[in-house]
Amino acid sequence: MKIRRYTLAVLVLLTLLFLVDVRYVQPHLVRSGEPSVRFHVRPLIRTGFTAEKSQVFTRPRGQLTSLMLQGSFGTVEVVSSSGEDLVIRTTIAAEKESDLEGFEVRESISDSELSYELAYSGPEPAPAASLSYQVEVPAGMEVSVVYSYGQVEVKEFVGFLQLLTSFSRVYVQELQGSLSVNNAYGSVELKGIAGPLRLDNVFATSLVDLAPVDGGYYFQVEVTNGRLQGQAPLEREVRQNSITAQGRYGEGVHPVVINSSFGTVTLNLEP
Amino acid sequence: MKRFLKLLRKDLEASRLPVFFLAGITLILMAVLRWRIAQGAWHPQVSVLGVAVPLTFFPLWLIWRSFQTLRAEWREDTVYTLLVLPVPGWQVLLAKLAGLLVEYSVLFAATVGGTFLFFGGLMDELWEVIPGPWWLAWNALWVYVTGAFVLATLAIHVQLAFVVSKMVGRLQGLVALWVLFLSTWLTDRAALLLEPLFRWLPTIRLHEFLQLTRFDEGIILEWQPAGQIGAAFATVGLLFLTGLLFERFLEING
Repeated sequence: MKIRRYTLAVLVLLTLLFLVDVRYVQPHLVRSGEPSVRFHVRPLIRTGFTAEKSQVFTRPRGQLTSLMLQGSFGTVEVVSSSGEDLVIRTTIAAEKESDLEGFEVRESISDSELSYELAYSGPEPAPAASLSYQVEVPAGMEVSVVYSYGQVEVKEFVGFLQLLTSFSRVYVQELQGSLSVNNAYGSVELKGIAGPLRLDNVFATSLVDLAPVDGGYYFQVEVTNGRLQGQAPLEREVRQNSITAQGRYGEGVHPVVINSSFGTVTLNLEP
Repeated sequence: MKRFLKLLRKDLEASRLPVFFLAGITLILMAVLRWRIAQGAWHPQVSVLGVAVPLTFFPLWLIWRSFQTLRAEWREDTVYTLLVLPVPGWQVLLAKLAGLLVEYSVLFAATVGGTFLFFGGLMDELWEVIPGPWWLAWNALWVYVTGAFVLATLAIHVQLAFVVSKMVGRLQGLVALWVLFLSTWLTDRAALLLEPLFRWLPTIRLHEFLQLTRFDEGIILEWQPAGQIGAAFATVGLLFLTGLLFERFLEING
């Protein structure tokens, strides 16, 4: 009978410990936040494309306020210029010369938006092909890039930039204006960003270096199943596999909103 | 060691009939499906059933067996003999665990072997994607090993739950369920405490180890084992605790 009593006593004690743990310890428990198993598919730029054809479009800015670029499997390079013309250099690449025949870059203008995408009119099924861009846009324009399986590189940009990417390496350096990035798989590197930022990233690492700006920043960061690091002034709250952080730098005028799942976020403020 | 092997043989003899019966039923099910598909009576996709049914049923069966192997000792009044044997309690439990792993191995071999034997000819698209038979065998081996670890962990928790339930007078089923829940919680807490001790371990690049890069060069699968190693130590601790309780504090008449 003694054993029964001792067993029950131990079970009751453990149950109490469990309740205390659930009620008081777990909400404040700091887990690493990093999942022990990490799985993702790295973007691969197709290297088997040896045949190419290029086309250059030059358009005066006029009434145009926004530019939209769509494509995959290649590279996108965007830079702001001091001129008033938009210069869009496009390159279509495929495995063989004959594969290129049915492809063309389709340009369309809708209201004040100019857009480019790859169009195919040859026999089905369409062969694999990539579309790459080298773009110069007048400062102050809005540019949207929808791209997958490639690399998007934006440098010295002034204006409004929106990137919707997947399985890609995204690199933005020296941006004045607003930036919105929605990425899945790959990596996102944003350096010298001066202005409001919205970043949604899943299964990818994020590096954000913000440049000082008048009005300062207001930070709102949520990282699920990942890690948050960097020198930005943030107050963190860790719950199970999720990290929520908020902070303010200067007057807190420009919002910096970051949502990341299954990836490491590094948020820094440049001195 | 001889005593341990005798215990293992006893458990294997007890499980021989049901395991070979289940393996046989699985192979017969697969053979019937393959025969009907060959006749054109059923669509080739029905072959999925031949794999899905054992994959669903066998894990549940093995968890039940981890409970049943101990329960049978009380039901057949052999627990008296077991307790007077000059063998430590943990060895008795380890023998039952090893017996379960042999059962798992037989059922795994029947399922995998039967799949390739009966449905291999229907998987042309799969063969085109898979890098080669060695790649498949290598990965199947590690699926088997991972499954064995998961089963062993579950079985140790179930054994503890059963033994503790025999140490109380009433509501033994409910107590067993509650102990199962508490032991899982305890292991998680222990794993959390032990994790920092193993953080020095390098991250294992599973995509290289399992040669997943041959399947697709873009795949990255990495595993930092610190947490799981902490949990493994805690689970081994539970095995010895169960052995101690079994050996010294059990009430046979419960």
